[in-house]
Amino acid sequence: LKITLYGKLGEALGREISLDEIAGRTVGGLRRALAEQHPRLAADLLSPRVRACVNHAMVGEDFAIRAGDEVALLPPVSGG
Amino acid sequence: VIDARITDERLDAQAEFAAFLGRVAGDGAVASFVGIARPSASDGGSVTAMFLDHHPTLTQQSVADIASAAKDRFGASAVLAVHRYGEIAPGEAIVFVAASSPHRRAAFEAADYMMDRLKTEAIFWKREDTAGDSRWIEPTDTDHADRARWSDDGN
Repeated sequence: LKITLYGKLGEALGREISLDEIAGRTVGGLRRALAEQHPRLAADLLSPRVRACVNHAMVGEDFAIRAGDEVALLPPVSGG
Repeated sequence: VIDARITDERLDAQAEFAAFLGRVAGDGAVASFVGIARPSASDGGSVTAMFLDHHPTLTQQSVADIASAAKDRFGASAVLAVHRYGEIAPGEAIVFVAASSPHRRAAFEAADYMMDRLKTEAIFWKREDTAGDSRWIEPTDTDHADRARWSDDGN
């Protein structure tokens, strides 16, 4: 599974990161898995202000991710 | 006419203004605004560069939505919004907006409205680099208060 990251998260972890074994995992589960891998960024990865986007639509924490989904984590926008 | 663009190239505000003015037909008013990257941070430090991260589709869409809403809300004949992304040096233009309308009030307000929404809602992630530091920033309280001036219709 490919996860695209923006802003502060993109800078810290790279624009794209991969995660294995996602079958049945929810967005919330994905955030917790990433937070365990990157404890320094846990507060941001778990923050409700960082929105999750799957296949270009905003989704909630219970959304079940499937193989092939395009997942993005969007920190609060700064505006221009 | 709605022209909304994002670009990672230098923004030539004078050329944009001249082109916009050249397309005006029959209107009595054109208002424009250019935002310039400041050389100093809010804490007074010198800014060496600003970086605007953007999303491949959502950023352009957000700028287009704001321009379109400005045109509809104030009945402007034409609106233009051009926004930079990527690395921007102090002193460079970061955003340019313009609006034309039969009379001046709608043109002023459409430009003002676009800027207040661009500063808070456009899909950008902004990092300010100073000599010893680099930090991601969010809209200020003033930006939110400016945005709230237009909020009676939920847009």
